[in-house]
Amino acid sequence: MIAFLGLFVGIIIGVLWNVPIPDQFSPYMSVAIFACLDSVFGAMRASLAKQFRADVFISGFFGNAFLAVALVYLGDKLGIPIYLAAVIVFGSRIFNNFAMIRRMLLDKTRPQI
Amino acid sequence: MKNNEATFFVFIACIIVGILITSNFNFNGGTKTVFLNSKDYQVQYNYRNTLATEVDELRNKYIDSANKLQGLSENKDEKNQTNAIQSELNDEKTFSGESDVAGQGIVITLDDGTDKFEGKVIKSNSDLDSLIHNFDILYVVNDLKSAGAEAISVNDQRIVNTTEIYCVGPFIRINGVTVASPFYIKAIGNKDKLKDYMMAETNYLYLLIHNRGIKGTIVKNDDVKIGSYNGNISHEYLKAKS
Repeated sequence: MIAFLGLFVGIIIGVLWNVPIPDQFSPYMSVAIFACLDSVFGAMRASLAKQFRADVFISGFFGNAFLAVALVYLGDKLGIPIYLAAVIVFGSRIFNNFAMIRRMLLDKTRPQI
Repeated sequence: MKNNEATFFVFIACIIVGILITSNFNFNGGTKTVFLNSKDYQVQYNYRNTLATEVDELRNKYIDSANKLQGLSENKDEKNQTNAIQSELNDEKTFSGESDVAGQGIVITLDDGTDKFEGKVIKSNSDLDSLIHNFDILYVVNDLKSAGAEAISVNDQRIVNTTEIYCVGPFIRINGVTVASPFYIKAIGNKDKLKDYMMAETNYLYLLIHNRGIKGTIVKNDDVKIGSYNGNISHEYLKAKS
């Protein structure tokens, strides 16, 4: 719930502020957003599993985004689409995390027998 | 406590993600960003330049037409109006080849190199090389056009947009008139430029004269006179597109 609220607030701020990002950074931003999303899902799962650690989350949040951007840049220079690796890894992790979140939430709401 | 901490961080992270997403989206629906490689960029860049030139030309045309219209409507005197229209008509006739023109230019003379046939039986095709064919004249006229000639005539047949240069046996048909060697090709234009261009070693006329044994001269002239097209230009099916 809190995630959607945060997303909503962020979108409002983004629309009002209208941060100018140069066009040539657009592909980097897309991958960075994906990395951040992955971290958020990871954090939600961890908090549901009561394993959340702030340092792990923050380092993952920025580290993943940075690594993804660096991969995109490297791929751009080398002429091979390395960013696909980042996209696949983050995508599968997002789905994994979402599956675990789903299970935990369903387990919680299941009536105790 | 731990859960609260997690909620807080997730909240902050989601705000950041939201800002990033919105900054990457374009809600205005305005410009769409497309990433081009350098080749595509070149193509698009040229396309843009072509369009810009076209716009410029159209604008100039519009200004010209507007000026003309204003000039005509300001002239209340009917005679002045007729004169203005008449002079414009004359200009148009000059450009379309319907009136006599004069100016600096070149005169090219081409004659069959038949001297070597004297007292000899023509056996091989290569002997026929020294005769002038229709396509020779065609190439020379084309070269003249691309060298920037403004008016061209072959044996006093003015080259206009409907002119054909056709082979009719030993003669050549131009504007429906049969003409024979020698050919006098007159062209009005920058005489130095025309001559230099035509006598360049890679050009057709040079090969014609030097490789095929055709007798040809090229003379610069300050006052080349070219007659008008003497057929009549009729348009039966052609309509101006409005």
